[in-house]
Amino acid sequence: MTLSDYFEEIESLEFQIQFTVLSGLSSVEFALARNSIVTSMLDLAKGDVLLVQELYRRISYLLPKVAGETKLSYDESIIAYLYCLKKTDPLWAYRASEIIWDTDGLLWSRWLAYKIIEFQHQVDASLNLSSPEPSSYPINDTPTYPVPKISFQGILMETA
Amino acid sequence: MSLQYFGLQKPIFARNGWEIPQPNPLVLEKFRQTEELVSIQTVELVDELLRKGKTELHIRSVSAHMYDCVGLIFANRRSWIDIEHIDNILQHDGYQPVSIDDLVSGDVVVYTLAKKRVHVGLVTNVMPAMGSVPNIRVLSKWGKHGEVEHRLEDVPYYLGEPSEYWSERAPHDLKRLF
Repeated sequence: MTLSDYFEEIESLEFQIQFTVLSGLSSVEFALARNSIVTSMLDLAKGDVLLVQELYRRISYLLPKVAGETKLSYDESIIAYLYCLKKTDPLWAYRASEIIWDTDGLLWSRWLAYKIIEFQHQVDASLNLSSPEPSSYPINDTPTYPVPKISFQGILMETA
Repeated sequence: MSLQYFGLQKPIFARNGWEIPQPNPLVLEKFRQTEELVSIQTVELVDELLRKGKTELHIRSVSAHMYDCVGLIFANRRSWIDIEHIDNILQHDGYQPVSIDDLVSGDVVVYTLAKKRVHVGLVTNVMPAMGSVPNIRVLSKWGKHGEVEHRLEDVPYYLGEPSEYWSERAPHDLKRLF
């Protein structure tokens, strides 16, 4: 199967419904790890930079469609792509997490994106880089939660 | 990270005072669904499952409020509580394992997939078994969707299979007295 074939499968209603019933991020990741479509796509993308970038582009393509969706929101499709990015390329996973984090209407994808961003902050903090500490995030009565500036150094050092 | 931070989330405690972890409110902040959307999604979901032969599903309710299967049973539909905490919750609330033969309405069923706890439901009715097949009805919340009443074993694949039964009743052989 090509990457396009996997996209078609993963964005189908049947695929999304399987994961939308779950009760926590740990369960979703556990289920994704056991799904044959996801694991096959992961195998295909591993080690292929162009395919990894295609996963990121596919997330970018889907995000604007989330708000207009009336049945399912592609949340499960997006987290499947983000899960694969996380497993293949932390840098692209972090970039994807940033744009996912700013998209309303997602649950699982934003949950995983938060986890990836938070992890990166911890890495940066442990390396004493310039990433802001959690306590410096904006806190007010009507919170907005902008994603902090990216620091790729931690990722690059981690994957080196 | 404190659950009360930002004032967006109230703490929930188990019977012995243990604070039950809830997802970071930042995660849930931008996830808002209307009841209409939840209804459409739930009907789609149940239709899909009905087509696959699980024919005894009944949608009890849909709600745009954020709660899941654990929140339904242990937080009165007030909160989303990750299923990964179910073991601690059962322990801190004083639940004990029971056999399937001792189940009564109000007891709890834990579903597992490859030995991982992935779902929990509330027993609503225990009827005489049909041969060797248990005839038990369960109410559970299916992720972001509605509450569904279903046969014990009729849940989507990734919600696993019924494998553990728990009750806070004590003593658990009380029903033999009646």
